[in-house]
Amino acid sequence: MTKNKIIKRCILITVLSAAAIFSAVFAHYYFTTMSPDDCKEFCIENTQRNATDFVLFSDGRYIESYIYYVASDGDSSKAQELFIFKRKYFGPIARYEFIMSSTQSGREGEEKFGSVQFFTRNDKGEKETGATLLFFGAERDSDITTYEYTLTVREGSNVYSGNVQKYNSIWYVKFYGLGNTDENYKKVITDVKFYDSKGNLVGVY
Amino acid sequence: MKSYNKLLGIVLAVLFVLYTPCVSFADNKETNYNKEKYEEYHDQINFEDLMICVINKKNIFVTVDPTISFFKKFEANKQKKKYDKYVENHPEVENELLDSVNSSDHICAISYTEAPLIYVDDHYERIPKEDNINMSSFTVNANAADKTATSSASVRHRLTLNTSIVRRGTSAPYIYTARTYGTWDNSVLSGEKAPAAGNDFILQACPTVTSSVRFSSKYNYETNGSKNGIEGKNYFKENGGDSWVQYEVVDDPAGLAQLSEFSLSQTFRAQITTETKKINSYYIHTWKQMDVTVSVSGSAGVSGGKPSAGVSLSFTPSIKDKQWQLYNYIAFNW
Repeated sequence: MTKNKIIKRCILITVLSAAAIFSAVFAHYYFTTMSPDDCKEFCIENTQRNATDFVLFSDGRYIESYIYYVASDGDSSKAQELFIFKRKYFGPIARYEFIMSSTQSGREGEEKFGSVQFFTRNDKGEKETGATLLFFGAERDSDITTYEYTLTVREGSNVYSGNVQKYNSIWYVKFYGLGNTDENYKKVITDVKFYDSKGNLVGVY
Repeated sequence: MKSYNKLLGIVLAVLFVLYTPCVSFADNKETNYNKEKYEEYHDQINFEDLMICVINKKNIFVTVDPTISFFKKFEANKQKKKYDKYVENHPEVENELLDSVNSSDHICAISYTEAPLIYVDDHYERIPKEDNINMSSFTVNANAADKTATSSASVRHRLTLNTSIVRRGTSAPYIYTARTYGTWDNSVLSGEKAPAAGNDFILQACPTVTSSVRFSSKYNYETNGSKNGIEGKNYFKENGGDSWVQYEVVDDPAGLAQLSEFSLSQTFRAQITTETKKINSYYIHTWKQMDVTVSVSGSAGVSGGKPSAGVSLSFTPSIKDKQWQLYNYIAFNW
């Protein structure tokens, strides 16, 4: 075999190997991630409260780095249900990866609202320094309209109130960046109370 | 064929370099004096690649973070298995995690050293390795045996020292809290007529200058109308320096002041570095009143916001044969 032929063969093998590795990595990416429509299907297939519809709301801070699906129907005697997905890139392509669902902790009882607190990661994979706290629920299980909470920061504690975000038969409330910034400064949310449209207390966190 | 093998070798080498996960935590295979002599088990769980969620405020859910790289998942799975094993034997760690996440604290790692114990002659003894099978080498006092069936030398009790590192803050230098939490699994029946025992000592050393120290203790029975220890009565700050602290705590395993748990924490500020630092925790159990002289080796400080050096403590008890010690460490990059 001439030297030229060996070089050509080496180049061919390199190109084929690179293509094979690229295909394998892309296949792994593609089959372990989902489009937003696939995410909804995934929720319906894995629901613990036999929900047939899930409504999406997004993180909003990092152009939908995290997306959340809340069950808008299903068995009201079961816990409120939330599925969390995170965006994952392959070059310019963005799809979503399942992170967890709120029913994975084994919680099964009837609840008017659900909550999840965790530390998100940014697109570089680094954990955020502040925690994310989400409240959510299906409108048909409770008429939760307003909420009240105590926010503690350096200056002290104050009680705030607001309207929950309502969207397509679900509602949600988002808090970000919870945590301390120094020994005397603690940004903490406590005593969260949920009220219905008539002002009746529905639940306390 | 040779060219193909060479090419394959290069491709594999490149892949290996690209995907070898960064080792963020120290290997935990270090031994210490007690580990050689007595039965004990040490391990460390790193939470960097685990996801901890609190659902409905009361349920903790720990899983391998699905968003980490394929290669990091191998290590993360190992950490998850270690966590599951630890929770099985120490369910109280779930409450610790719940408190951390509910307080929006970022828990970095937990290490623990567990020591099996036996109860003989109104006090607990550690179990020497060579006596593991032949427990008859311990002489059981008749009075002790009368107290309860669980006082028998054949029943194993347990002391666990657990140290967790929690990070707070939104930017460096972060605030770290090293909390050493001890739990006595002591089911010996206590009573007012039981003899008084010596106080115990709890120490912690951090490789940086600490800014605050906290201590608390809890008992199996009410003393002073509460199960919680009171500073000045049930525990005292005994000694300390810039980077270490020593507390003395009342513990009477056969009496009413039967210590069930305690917590000692130091808080400090530091940048994230690639250097691994160790926090050392020590527990000295005594059954006769004695003094303990502490020797500090190494030094601690902060250079450019980074913790420097390491601090180890060694002890000289005034009565050597009426005490034993348990050591735990946590190795972490900060």
